Amino acid sequence: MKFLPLVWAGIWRKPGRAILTLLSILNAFLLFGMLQGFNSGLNNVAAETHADILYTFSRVSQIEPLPLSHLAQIQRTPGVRAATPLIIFNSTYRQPTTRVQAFAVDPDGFFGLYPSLKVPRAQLEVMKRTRTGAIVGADLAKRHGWKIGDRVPLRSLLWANRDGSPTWPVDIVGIYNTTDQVFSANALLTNYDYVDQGRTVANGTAGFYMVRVADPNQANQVAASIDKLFANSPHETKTASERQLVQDQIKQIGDIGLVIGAIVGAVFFALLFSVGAVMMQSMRERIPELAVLKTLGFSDGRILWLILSESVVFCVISGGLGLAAAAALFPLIKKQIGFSIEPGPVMLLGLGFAVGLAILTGLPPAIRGMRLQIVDALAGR
Amino acid sequence: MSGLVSLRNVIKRYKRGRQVVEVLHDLSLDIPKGDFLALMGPSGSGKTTLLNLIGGLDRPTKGEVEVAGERIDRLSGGRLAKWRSRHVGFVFQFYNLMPTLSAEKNVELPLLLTSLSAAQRKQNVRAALELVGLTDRRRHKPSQLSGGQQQRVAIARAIVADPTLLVCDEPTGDLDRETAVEILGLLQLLNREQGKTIVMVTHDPKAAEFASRILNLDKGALVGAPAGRAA
Repeated sequence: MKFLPLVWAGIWRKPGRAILTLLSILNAFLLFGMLQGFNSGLNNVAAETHADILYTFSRVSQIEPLPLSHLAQIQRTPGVRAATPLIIFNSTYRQPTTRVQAFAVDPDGFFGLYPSLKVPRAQLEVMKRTRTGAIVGADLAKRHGWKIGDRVPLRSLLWANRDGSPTWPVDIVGIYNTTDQVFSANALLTNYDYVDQGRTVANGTAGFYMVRVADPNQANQVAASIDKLFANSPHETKTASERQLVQDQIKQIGDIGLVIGAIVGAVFFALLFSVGAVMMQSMRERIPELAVLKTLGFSDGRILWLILSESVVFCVISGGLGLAAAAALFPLIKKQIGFSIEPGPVMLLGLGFAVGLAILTGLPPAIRGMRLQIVDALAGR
Repeated sequence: MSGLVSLRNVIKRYKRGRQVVEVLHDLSLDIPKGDFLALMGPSGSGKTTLLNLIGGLDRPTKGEVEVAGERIDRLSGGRLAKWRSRHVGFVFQFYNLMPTLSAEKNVELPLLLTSLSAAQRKQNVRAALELVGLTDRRRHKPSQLSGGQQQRVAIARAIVADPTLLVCDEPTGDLDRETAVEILGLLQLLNREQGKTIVMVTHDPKAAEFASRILNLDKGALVGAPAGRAA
């Protein structure tokens, strides 16, 4: 600690250059934090999927409806604990660009199968009694200022109402909370019967089935058994685990890990040269000062340690500021994309990179400082 | 006075490209404890080289250098650095202070290598700055001090760890006459009152008059001394 003032003074020897270098490192680590945070958020979503939840879609297409008669057969499949039908009911609210992720569900079946969504029992009972009743996620309700008792006119993107309009009024009877990243608190759930009986086509069908298995380790076998049930029928199915579906969706965006790795790699590669050049230049300018320190009795090893310490302190502070700025933006990412990011692992990885950058850029000048010959350096040779 | 510094048949050669230059030729010298020795001579005579050998900044090509009973020519780089920090204080022509540190932080530098506590270091720094008359300027950076004040800070840095020997390379070479006299008076005071042994290289005969003894060096040999030896 007693050498800290010396290290600190060395860093700020040329304040203008130090600030510019700090900003370039901060910028790189801000980018790293954002991209790595995004990637880790995606991985978190995949990791937090429920191992015991399966989704059964039509083999033809995920938007092709399946007959409701499949439900009883799925429920009877060995290993299945529960199954429930869902209708995709995606809509807009007020503006065509204001999307609302919505599903029509059987209240008991759905909330019983997916217990990570928390809703008061009384509100669930009201939903069951109210044909147009809807329970909305807390985040969605907050975004639109909805509260229990509000009537919300949704404009369905898929289904026309029997009156010929796409407008479906729903009455908010409950709010659910969840920390679930897959089925977040951003959806609206209304009654299956209301949508199914109200729509002009595809009555008596489900968009897909949600299935809960008794033993998560048997999930793949159960999925195969379900698909086997409907093989060679007019409505063949494709059943996949929640994790598989999330991973498939992520893959549709592209190989995020590779893209992020390439961008971050290129940025750090450039940073390595720019910061390395600055460190070397700074060391060259201080040759007489380092020679004086050696004259006073600072050993070669201590000089190496001092220069490396400067590099580590500077890079960790600059990188840390960039990472802190990225962490401050994580809530915004959550708002935009819908999944949350744990800053801890991103910060630790980033700080590890900062230390690595410091050692790689600080070591060459530190070795040069260590090898400095006092007499030559003092004589300006 | 007992001997503090003893050089025996010292030869120093440097390589300059392909050429080997012998700067000191078979030089022997004894400096007693408490001496204030001025080394004079023209440029290139080997004064600074001799000073570097005495101060443990360089090693002889041949011969022995003994300071306070220790053969410093035999010490490894690390042990020599430690030895310098304990036994020698350096004063340079151009002060060589750390521009980013305050006067007191500059003076504290040699103490960072000791096991003294922060409070003890602070106390020693205050005492050294008081001795050179710069207590009120302790928070100033070198750029905020005059040349004379900077050299006083350098002297405070040289004496703060209470070394056996003070090695001064043209300490007044960058100062006006009046300030030079002040600095030389301070060195004289340190020699007389604190018993510091001082070896000073200078071009200036008037500066040399402040020393208790003057030796002349020419072409790598002491002039006016018996061949190979001066005391």
